[in-house]
Amino acid sequence: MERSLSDFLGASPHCISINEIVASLEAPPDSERRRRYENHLASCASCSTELELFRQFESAQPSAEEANALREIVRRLRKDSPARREPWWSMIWKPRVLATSLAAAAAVVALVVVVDVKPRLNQPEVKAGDVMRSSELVVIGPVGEVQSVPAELQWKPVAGAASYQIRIMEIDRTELWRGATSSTSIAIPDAVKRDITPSKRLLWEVAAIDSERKMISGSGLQSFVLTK
Amino acid sequence: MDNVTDEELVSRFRSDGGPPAGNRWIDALFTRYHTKVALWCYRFTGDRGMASDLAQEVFLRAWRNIGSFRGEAKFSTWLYTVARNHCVNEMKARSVRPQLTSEEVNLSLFESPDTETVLDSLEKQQSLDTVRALIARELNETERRVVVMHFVEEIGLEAINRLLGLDNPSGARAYILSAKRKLSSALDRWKIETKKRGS
Repeated sequence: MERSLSDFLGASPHCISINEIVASLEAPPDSERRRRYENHLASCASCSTELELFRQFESAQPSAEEANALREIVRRLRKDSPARREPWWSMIWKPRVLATSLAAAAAVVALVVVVDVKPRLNQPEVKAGDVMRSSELVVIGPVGEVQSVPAELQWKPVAGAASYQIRIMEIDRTELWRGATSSTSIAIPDAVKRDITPSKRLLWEVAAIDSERKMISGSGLQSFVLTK
Repeated sequence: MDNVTDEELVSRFRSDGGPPAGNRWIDALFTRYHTKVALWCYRFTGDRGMASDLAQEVFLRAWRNIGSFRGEAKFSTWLYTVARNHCVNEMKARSVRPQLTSEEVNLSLFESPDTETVLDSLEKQQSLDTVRALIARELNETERRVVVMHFVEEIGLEAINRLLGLDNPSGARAYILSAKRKLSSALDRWKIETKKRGS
């Protein structure tokens, strides 16, 4: 009978799964289970290789060159997690996000009440041609090229909307921020403003939500870029 | 959530009735492993784009099969198995073949002065377990790992270098050549001993 390499080097009937290997090595040092598997590991090329690969998977540290590649790969993994396929606007109702959004909204309201409404010098000029229509929700701005860092996002009211959910993203759709308001504008947080730099395009979208928390219209993706 | 074990996160996912209500637990769990899976895939492929695709597929596969994880084993070993099998299979499917084949090694690694190969000679009088023991005794840990990864799992030499962190000049290739020398020498000794016993 002809034998192949895998007969000599591959798994044998005595071999165990990586689950069992790890579990057996976590058993007390003097236990029969641990002794038996340690003996097997010492003589089995297949199982000892499997254990080493698992250890590499568990604890390998990336080099500087690898770290660069990993940042990009992990970023994509975060963006496209298979366990996060629910509509983005429904995520706002999760307690942590909702609390953050409400706190931000409350802070904006308080600021307006205390300081009174002053001319918004930093507000981008909105021209008639800038008004964009996408789905049924009409966005006012910012869209397209803007001359200064916008202070807020604005849109036209939607009949039946109880609130609006907003999110701002980078061009690869990595989310920078999301918020909620019952108004038709929302201030852009300072942390996001710092990301608005010349020639760097950002995306944003807004969804109108009714009193039963159903999305009734959306803006679709909008984009703007600071020109100087 | 940092204090919650991986297995507890899966348990919470189940308690919430699975998807979609329980998705956040699995999302948090997967996030813990993003870097590990990404690094594994990157070392396996050596290519940023291919690694990114493989890592995506690993988590998609894990997501689709999370129901088969019953919590009897550690989640880390379960996910490792998913990542390992997916990468090995995908690299084979994409025809990213190792530099030497098993057939070549049968000729080169086990070459014998007569036409009979080492394997043929050994198996005539030795049991499979005895040959395994010989390999275990003659080869050091790294040589065994490299030989298993390359000739059994069919993982490419460059990938082996990255996965095992081999930084010697010739990497995995040097360990294969060294394994060949040691086994040839063991064969010679074995033949002499066999002749002595026969005479």
